[in-house]
Amino acid sequence: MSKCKAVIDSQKITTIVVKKKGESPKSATTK
Amino acid sequence: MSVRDVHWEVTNACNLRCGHCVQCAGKPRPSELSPDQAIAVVDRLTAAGVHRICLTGGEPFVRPDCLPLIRHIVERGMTCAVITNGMLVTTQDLRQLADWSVSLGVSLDGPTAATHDSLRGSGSFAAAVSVLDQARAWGMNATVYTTVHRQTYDLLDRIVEFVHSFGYGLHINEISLAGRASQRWPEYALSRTQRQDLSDRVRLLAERWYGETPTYCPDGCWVDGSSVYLRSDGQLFLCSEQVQHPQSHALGSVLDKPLGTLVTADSFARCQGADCCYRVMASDHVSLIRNQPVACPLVPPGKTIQTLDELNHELDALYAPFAQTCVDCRDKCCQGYVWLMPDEADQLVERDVPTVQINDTSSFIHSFPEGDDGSIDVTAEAPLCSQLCCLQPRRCRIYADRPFSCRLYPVGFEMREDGVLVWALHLDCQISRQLEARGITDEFSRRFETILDSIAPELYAQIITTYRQVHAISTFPHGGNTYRTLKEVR
Repeated sequence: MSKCKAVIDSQKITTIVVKKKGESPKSATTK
Repeated sequence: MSVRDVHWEVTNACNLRCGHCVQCAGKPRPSELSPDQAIAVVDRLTAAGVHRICLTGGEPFVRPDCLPLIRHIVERGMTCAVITNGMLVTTQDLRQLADWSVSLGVSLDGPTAATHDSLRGSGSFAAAVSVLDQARAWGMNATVYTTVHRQTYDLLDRIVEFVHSFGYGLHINEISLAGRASQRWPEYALSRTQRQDLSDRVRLLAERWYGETPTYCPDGCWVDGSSVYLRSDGQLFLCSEQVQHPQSHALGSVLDKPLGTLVTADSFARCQGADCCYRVMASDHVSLIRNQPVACPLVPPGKTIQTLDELNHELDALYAPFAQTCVDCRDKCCQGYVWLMPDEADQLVERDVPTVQINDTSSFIHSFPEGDDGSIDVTAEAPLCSQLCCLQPRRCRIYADRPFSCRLYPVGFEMREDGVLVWALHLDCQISRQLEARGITDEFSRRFETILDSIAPELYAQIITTYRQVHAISTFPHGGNTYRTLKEVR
């Protein structure tokens, strides 16, 4: 939340799925 | 069981709308006793052996039958007192009350018209002082009732001096942040220092003006059936504290059953040896009622919060007094990632809010930078929330439907150095700064804890599980947040 100093640890990510209205959930990769 | 004292709220109607009123007095309750029913109640109380009746409200004199009712009480041989704001009491009324040896309680919250009227309403100071003047002239017994809160704490010395000038004593209530005061509690809450100093201050004032030293009465619940509270609809309670809580159970109506049947030893068995939510300090002329962080043994637990919607509603009410703080705030808020409860993610997508799910476990509002190749940088530090309007001042596009983690803020979770997960108040927020500056973080913490304790175990577990999953994929490259622990996660 606001001013939160946490970030997501790239080493702990196995899957990423983006969900948008009217679209099928889409897998994504991280930069 | 012999009831001797009855505190009788004869109406909840009041001509004033004091912001600190614990009863939200104003309109009458549904089904308040009619004049004939009130007379019948007096007869029942007489038959039950009651010695003393103290009429309170609301404002008792809003009732057109107030004076006839008092006369009936006196004619039945009982001692009578009436607590009033004085605005509806005529000189003729007072003359009658003096003739009947009725004692008065007069509400006074400031030593001047400016201070008192700002809290109670225009003309109320002049009316209260007029009643005290006349009462003194006619030799009536009277006590002044005052409520000490943030706005009157610094006036206390002058209030005591003023009351002493009439030759009357003073009953001081530390404000209960319930009823109407609950809606604007930060305006009324005493600071931690004020709370710490209040008893000593009252003791010194009593010694200075009355030459007496108030002492604390024995701790513990006083309910023993000898004194009861009668609500304006005829329902009987063992203590006035119960009436402030809608979940309290009445003993029954005095119109339906004799007093001796309603008040039995069983009705207050659970009070014996229990703690009380009040602490009383008293001498001959000065008394002080302090609040204690203790649940009344007579009041059942409040409603359990079963759903996230209900919890969000409670959080909105908790933060409602700070709404303007957020509007005025110019901090760069709503950075970082907004984590979502399981159902929230799907609901937000339906509302056209993109989300990102990581590892099939944790969902966030999608605020992360996207690359041309379709990749997203979920490791970006403190991206602005995508739901902030781009126009200044920035506003949340989904404020009415914002997720739980937003509604919770500035409370959140922190994993303490000892590995214990805690509910934490983040100090890097205008609300937290205001709480600290006013010395009322303790009161906030108490209110928040009350909400936590009301959450159903299943919902509580779901929240904790969701956050733990978020925490499991988080890292803190620049150190943690500044926070104050509110409560350890159970």
